[in-house]
Amino acid sequence: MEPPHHDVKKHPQKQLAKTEKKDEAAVQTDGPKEVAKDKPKWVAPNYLDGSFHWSYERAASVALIPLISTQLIYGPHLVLDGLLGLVLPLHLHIGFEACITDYLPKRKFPRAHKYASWGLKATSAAVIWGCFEFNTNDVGLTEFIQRTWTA
Amino acid sequence: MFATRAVTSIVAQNAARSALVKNAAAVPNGVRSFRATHANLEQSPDAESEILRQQRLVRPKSPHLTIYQPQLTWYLSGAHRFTGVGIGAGFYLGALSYLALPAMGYNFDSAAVISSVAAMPAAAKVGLKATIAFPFVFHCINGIRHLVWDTGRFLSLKGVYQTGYAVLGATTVGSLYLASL
Amino acid sequence: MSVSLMSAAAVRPALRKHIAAPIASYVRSFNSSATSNMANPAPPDNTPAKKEPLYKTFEIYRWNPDTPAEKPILQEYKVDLNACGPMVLDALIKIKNEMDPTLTFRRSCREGICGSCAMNIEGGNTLACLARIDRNASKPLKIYPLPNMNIVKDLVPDLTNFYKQYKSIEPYLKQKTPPTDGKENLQSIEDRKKLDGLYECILCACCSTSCPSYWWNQEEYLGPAVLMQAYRWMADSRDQFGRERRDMLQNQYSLYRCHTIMNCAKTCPKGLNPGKAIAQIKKDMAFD
Repeated sequence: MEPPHHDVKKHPQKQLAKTEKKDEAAVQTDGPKEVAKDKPKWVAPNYLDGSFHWSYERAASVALIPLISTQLIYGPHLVLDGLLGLVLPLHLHIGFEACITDYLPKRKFPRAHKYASWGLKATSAAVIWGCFEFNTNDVGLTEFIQRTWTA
Repeated sequence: MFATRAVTSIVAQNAARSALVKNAAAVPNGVRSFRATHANLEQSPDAESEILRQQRLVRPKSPHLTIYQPQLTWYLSGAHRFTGVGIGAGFYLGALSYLALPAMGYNFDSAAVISSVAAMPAAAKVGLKATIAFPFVFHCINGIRHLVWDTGRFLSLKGVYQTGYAVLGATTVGSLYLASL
Repeated sequence: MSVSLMSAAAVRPALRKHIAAPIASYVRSFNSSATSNMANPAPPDNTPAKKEPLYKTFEIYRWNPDTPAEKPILQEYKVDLNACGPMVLDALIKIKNEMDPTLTFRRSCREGICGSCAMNIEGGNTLACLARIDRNASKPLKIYPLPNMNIVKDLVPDLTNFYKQYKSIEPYLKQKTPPTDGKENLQSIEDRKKLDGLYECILCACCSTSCPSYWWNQEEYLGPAVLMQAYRWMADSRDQFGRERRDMLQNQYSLYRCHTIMNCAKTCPKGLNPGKAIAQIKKDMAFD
């Protein structure tokens, strides 16, 4: 592939610049398949979505260990059941949210992501309320599991 | 593509020949004149990047899940997610049913559930308990493994495999115990 | 000739003493090798023992961009392992030289240091030049390109995104204040040891393309290779932009799609552990 002789002799600089620009354009225009941006535009660090989220995800998981082990060993207790009815749905919510971020990312499925996120928030809220109702009006989570398991 | 190349090369040759004849006086000796023919344009940077762009649109994706070697690493991680979603979905369904079903007329309080479970045959009860115990115990113990990893311990390849087998062993023991209750 | 001369010398006993020895050595020099003067055993057979050919089937992923409508296929080749080097790359080169010159793959150093020949061999990502061929001829050897990548041709993936992600973490020393003596960035031996296991990465992309999170979220999740290099610069005592480097990862996707699956450490052909480095970044960021 030879560049045209005439042009090279007359405007060598112009020819080079044109090629460079075209190469950059060629790399960035990638059709429907996405490519991470060449120069990352500066985005403010989002601690809420970043390290804070990671920290309270671990906190919820760690809190579950004494709750569930005491429940298994000791049995039903009012305060334990109340806490369990809060921490367990929270842990489940965080887990389901991770699935949505992984499998329904906003960039690929913008509407499905939105519906799934809000649907999940509503469902988790309902579950927390349901657990509260169950602990107050019914026998309580631990008692229920104990009785059903040994029925 | 090949047909156009053949055609354009003939056109180019004819153009050159006719140019020589027509502009013999105008073209100085030793300098070739350039014509922006189809063949020349096809090899320019513009045409190249266009061909590349077209190719990029049709590239296939190489296979992943179907061909990757089954390994303890991603199998246990997949199982952790699977069991989490399974047990979680069950819990969510239970809680939502407790809220919704009485409004629809069904009797769904703890007494109703316990009596219906008690009415089941013994084999079904043990089977159901085992089906629920195994994923639950696995998720709990593997969860502890994940929390240990988050402190930075047991993250060598050997550590990953050792803790992995420990989790599988503990799960079997734990779920058998729970199913026997 | 030597016999006649020796017998001639034998006729004159007086001459034999003085002439026989020099004549014998002179005559001996006419022979091209001294061994023919000695007793003659059977000549040593220097030809190498001919091995029976051991044919193994290689099933290799093929796709041609010149005929893009045709779906990718697994093409079979039979290679004589006894006439081929021990590594998968040797077999690939043999196939390309002798059987199918259209087979396309990347390769360069053939010694596991350039990272060009990274591909999926028998289900795991490694370098073809370091993967030994299993000599069990009854099992076919499957070779695929790196998983879930856009394929340019046959075993060649498009790594543009991977390189852009590497560029985005600014993999070079960044400082706010110049070195204390004005010339050298001094580093203690303990601080230099912290970089062991991080700097040896050859950016072959085996680990990133083995990570299921990278499979699903290539565009936003950076992947183990790039994250380990980000940590390499965070851990370098001479670099002063650690906080800023960590702040760049403070979002849902760049770092936190890692769920400690640990496929990366299992598959690294250089024996490195990106998962451990990522866990260290997460710990550091939690206390920022």
